[in-house]
Amino acid sequence: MIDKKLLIRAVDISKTFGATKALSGVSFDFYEGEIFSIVGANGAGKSTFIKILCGYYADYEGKIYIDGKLVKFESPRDAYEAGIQVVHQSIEQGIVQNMSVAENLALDMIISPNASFVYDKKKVLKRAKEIASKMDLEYLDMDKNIQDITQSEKQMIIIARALATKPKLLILDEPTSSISDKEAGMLFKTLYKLRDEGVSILYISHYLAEIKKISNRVGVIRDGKFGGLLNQPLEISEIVKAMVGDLESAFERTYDEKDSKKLILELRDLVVQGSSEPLNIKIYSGEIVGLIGLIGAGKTELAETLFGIRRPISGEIILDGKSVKFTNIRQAIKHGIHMVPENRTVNAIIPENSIKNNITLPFLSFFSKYGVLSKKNEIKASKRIIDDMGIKCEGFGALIESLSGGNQQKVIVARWLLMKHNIVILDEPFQGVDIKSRRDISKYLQENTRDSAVLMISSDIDELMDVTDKIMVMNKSKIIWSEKTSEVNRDKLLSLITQE
Amino acid sequence: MEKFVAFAIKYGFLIVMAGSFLGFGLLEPSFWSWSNMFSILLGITIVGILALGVTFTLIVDGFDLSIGSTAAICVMISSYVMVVLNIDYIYAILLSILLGITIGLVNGLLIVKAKIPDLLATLGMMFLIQGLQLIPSAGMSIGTGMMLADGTEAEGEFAKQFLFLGQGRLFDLIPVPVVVFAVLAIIIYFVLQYTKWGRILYAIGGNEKAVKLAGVNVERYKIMAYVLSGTISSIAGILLAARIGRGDVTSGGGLLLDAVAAALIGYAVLGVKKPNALGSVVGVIFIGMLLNGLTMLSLPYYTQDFIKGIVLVAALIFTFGLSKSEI
Amino acid sequence: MKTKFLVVCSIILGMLFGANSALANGLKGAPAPFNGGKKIHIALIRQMTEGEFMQTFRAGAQIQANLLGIKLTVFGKSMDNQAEANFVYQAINMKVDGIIIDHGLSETMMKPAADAIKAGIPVVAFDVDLKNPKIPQIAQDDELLGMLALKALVKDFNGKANVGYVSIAGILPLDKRDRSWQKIKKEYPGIKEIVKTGTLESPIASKNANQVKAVLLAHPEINAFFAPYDELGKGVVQALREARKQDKVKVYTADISTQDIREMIKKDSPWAATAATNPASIGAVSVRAIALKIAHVKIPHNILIPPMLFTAKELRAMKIKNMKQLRKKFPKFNSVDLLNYPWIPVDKKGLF
Repeated sequence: MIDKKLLIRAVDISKTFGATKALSGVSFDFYEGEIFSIVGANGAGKSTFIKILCGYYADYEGKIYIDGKLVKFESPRDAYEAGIQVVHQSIEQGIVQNMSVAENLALDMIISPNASFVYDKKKVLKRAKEIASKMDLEYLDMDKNIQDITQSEKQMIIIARALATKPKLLILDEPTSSISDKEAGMLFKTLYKLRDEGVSILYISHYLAEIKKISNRVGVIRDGKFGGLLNQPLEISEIVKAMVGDLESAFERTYDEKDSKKLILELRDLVVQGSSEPLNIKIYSGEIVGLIGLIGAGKTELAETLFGIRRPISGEIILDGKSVKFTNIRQAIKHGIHMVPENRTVNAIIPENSIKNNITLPFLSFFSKYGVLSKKNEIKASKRIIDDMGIKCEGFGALIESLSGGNQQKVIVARWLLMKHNIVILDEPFQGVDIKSRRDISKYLQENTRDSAVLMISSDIDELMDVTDKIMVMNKSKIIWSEKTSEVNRDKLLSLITQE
Repeated sequence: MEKFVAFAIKYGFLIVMAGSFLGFGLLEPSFWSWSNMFSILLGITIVGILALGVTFTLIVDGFDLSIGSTAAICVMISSYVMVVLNIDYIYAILLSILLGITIGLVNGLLIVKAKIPDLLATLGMMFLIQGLQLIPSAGMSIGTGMMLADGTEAEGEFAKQFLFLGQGRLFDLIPVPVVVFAVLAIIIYFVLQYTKWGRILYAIGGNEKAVKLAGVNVERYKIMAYVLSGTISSIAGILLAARIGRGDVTSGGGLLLDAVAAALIGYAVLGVKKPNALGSVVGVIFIGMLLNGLTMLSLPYYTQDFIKGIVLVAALIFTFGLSKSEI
Repeated sequence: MKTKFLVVCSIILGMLFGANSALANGLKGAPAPFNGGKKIHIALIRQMTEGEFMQTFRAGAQIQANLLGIKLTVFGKSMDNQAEANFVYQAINMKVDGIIIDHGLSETMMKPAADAIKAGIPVVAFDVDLKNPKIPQIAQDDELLGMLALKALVKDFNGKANVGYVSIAGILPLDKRDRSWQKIKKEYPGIKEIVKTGTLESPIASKNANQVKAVLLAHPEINAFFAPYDELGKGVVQALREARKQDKVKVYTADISTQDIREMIKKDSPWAATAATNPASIGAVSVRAIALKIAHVKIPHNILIPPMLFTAKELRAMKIKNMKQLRKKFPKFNSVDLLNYPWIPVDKKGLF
């Protein structure tokens, strides 16, 4: 490692936002010809560190050396000129719509202040081809509109453009988040090639398997501080440990069907809209039941029927021994059925509102008398659940946007666990949630599910195996299998999910 | 720097306001007299009440273009009831409010049930009302002694009690419309800040779908916002009728834009960046004060709209421009 | 546009002129406070600010104010009645020495005006009846205005005509002009009102043109129109031209402007005559009235500005193309001999 040339040193980097110390004393070195990954839980300070490297924050503390010389970044332009190139997560931000492939490749030339006033198509094309050759993209039709090529080709164009400036450091921020596995494979091959040519690559990703596969070294940021530096051979468990610390194994929950005697929810021959299969399900108190299936298997339809969004075609829903019927969400909530919807940004988060307001939203009647809210009671209840679920925030009054994705999800889960309920349905609760928050939520559910039950819907086997007591497989609108989690064989489950 | 910007966003507007209050008074001592204070407030009440109304629809991420014409038609209806029909002024008030509620309800239904975009629905309503208000009096202003279609003269007149609503003063100092405005403002502020209804209205403006999934009947709340907007506009109309004392066909002009401008300026007050009752009130008072003070300092009348525009643009910069957005 | 420019120029010039002469020494032989005491400040509060009439009125007022060494502040927001009422209170708070209320709704302006009187500030009103014995009422002699135009009509048609009447009830000056119409109809049974129409919806001229066009189709027997307000008259002329009836029908109106003159002097214009007062004179008389009130000089309660009749034939014969030439050729039109005192300087040059 040491025989390679040291290109960039970031020493004792710190940054504060208002009263929050987002980053304190983080140092990393970047060598030529290596892929260096930075990992950290959501909110650990990863993106702050990267933004400092890219010149977005002029008021950072600490020192950045390039080729041994101290530099000070006042603006993204400074970082760009110092040879730091970044390819952002969002591909759409990196390309210019309504322009051709060639124009996108030669963008720097087109928008440069020195560009000639008359648009010289030949020159643009020549430059575009030069840039394309760096990434073996010559096969692309240069006249095509940028919208007509694939996501990964767009990304390759962005990377090619970044490389054309001969950067010292190429930063890739979550590059695989919007491309397929196959495309990711191609990306990695390109990265290896660049690495072997001596480019220094800083790679950021949520997917630890990727990190393990491609990185030469891994740097960890944990709670805004340096969390460790891992060399090959890399182990995922070690990376996780460095990211979130020693997780107490929260999974020694003993589950015995006999303990949970009370039948909470029973579906008798329930036929949901868009299907003709009668469903029969029994869920007992104290149970955390997983429901797994492919997209389109009918999971969402079932959840929406239970939550009063859709009406069942026939059959019965029996709650706590009584047959119930409801036609809207309000009535479902009254019967103690709560649901954490999937995709929190679209379906759950109330932006520009405090954590407290986000938590208490469905139960405002409970906190008010003649319509006037009792902020005291609201605060008391919110504070309690913020503590219990370990929501990392500046207080109940902080805006929801100030939280990391994982903590936002905790708030949304807290919203529905706040009040007594019979069953809470969680629809893809761990989408875009970091591992620490995921474990916090799981632990809370496991410790607090006694008189009620949990129905967790997911398409990720590992998520469900971590948390649930029982797993049901849904395939083509039918429950085809159900088993205690402790006895589940992962491979068998996979084949059940995908079987035709 | 960051702190300074945050401070500027939060208090900048109020500081500018306090500064101009001081400045005007120092340059022109009669500016500070009680009677001038109330004359400023009297000048802004109608627009202020309308701004409160439009605040409700702005909160649910909607818009109501029909507020000005709703107020105008209530002027005509009140006059028609008292002057042409010659019946008790109570009916003028009741009928106006009923009309306001109806207009709001129709707006709400058009937007929520018929799914017409808010701007278009209320624009259509605005034209409809502007036309409708001319029909009972055949396009003429309504005043005592006007010639009716059958050749007789209208005999009714504006009731003293009704005129008191617009022209009366309490303790020979505080104009009655100002009192009505203040009471409305306090009620609306309270409802928006301290009740679950206010909370839910704001939440709907933030993320309608999430509120729906929290078990709230979002449609009903949105319709309610338009009904409130219509009702509040009709109250403004009643006061306007009582101030003018005549069913003047031109009375609605300019009210809409002034009210919307005030509500938008309100976004900047205390840096809340949301439509809010306090902001709308402060916004409208600020404009009123500025125009009053500048007129005292011999600013020509024709520069007034220009001044309003400057204030609005500055407020919008405070609200949206100073908060740096990250790429 | 040109008028506006002239107005602005005259105001600027007037300010310089006024500041130099009158302020320093006071006016010779003038009663207090015009004998060199403090600077007098008056407010002109207006319902309408646009249109040639309104602008010329203002220019006349400004020039007379300058000659008297008075500071004149204009308040106005086009057609906003409640704002007009508010301006009165603001003027009271500014402690002006006198207030001219120019147009407005009686119902709206009565109370603010009375409040001004209560605060010890004299008020005069132009073209709005404030129903207060302490407030002198200035007006064009609207009855006479209507009568002059109608007399011309009677003369041209020898007492026999089928008349389309374009007016709006409920507007004070129009109601006054209506009185002359009722009188004429009684006096000359040969003059018949075939139809009545009219709207104040803006743009006034074209909205009225639409109405008149419909009327012409329904009543082809009409051979004259009485439209006692020039904007209405413009609408009638427009309708006649569009219906190609400009040679068969004649139009009689009130008020005059350069734009009106341009139409009247066209060879084929149906616009036969108009009766008018000079808005600049009215503005000047209004300022003289308030100055006299401030100086505690008694003035009559009703001050009527007499109109003049202008026929298209005359205008064509005298080759008059605009208001400037009109004023030059008709000196009587310029300075109305009302409220004139030796100590009040008068603009003798003729305006503009």
